[in-house]
Amino acid sequence: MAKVSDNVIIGNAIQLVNEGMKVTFPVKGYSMLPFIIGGRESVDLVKPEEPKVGDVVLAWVEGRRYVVHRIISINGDQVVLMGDGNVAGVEHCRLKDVAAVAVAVVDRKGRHHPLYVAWRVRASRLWWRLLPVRRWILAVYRRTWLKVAG
Amino acid sequence: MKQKEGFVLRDVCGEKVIVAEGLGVVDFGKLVSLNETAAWLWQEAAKQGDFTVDSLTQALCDEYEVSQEQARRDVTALIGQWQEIGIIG
Repeated sequence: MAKVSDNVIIGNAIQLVNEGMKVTFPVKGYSMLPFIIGGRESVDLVKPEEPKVGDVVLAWVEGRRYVVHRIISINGDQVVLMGDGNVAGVEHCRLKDVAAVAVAVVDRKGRHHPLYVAWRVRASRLWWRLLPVRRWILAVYRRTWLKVAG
Repeated sequence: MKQKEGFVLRDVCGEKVIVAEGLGVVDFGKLVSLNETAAWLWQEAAKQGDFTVDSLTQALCDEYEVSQEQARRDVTALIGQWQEIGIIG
């Protein structure tokens, strides 16, 4: 297959999402640790209805790139996102730039894990409260569990 | 041989691609890209339903200017790939 830019492929995925399909899409990078392991796991994307704080979404941010990150605040039309695996740095976009919402993470074995079951919601809230110490937890996580799991 | 359920030929980024698509779920992690001839053969196989190396070889010769031997070699190789990937059974 000819080398196609990621943005074009993502654009295609979004088209299918808009048609009402659920698209399983591989995730790159570590910006969504510990909940989604890039390079190994995928997310199930569907059409967004009413994006909420806490949702993991595919969004076109800063007017220049796509990310799959968690919404940390919504103020009217302004959405702020942050990767679970990032210790600082947020992205901004408008509500209309939220292209899809991730409803499940798909592990290496092809098992689909719904993202918004009670324990995961509690875990993501706890993870948010641990933001000040995230850096150290992630450092340990990357050297231990990440190497073993998946 | 038959195509397995849920594998659909789609146009993704201008390329012909077989997508695992079951019950409205499309797996972008498992795309199989095809050149024009392979895409045509996939569609032929779909039309035939139950197909064989012979039936696809015949179809290829009817449609394209190619010798029986070359066609058979190409079809055999392609079917081998499809079996390996698990999209036919």
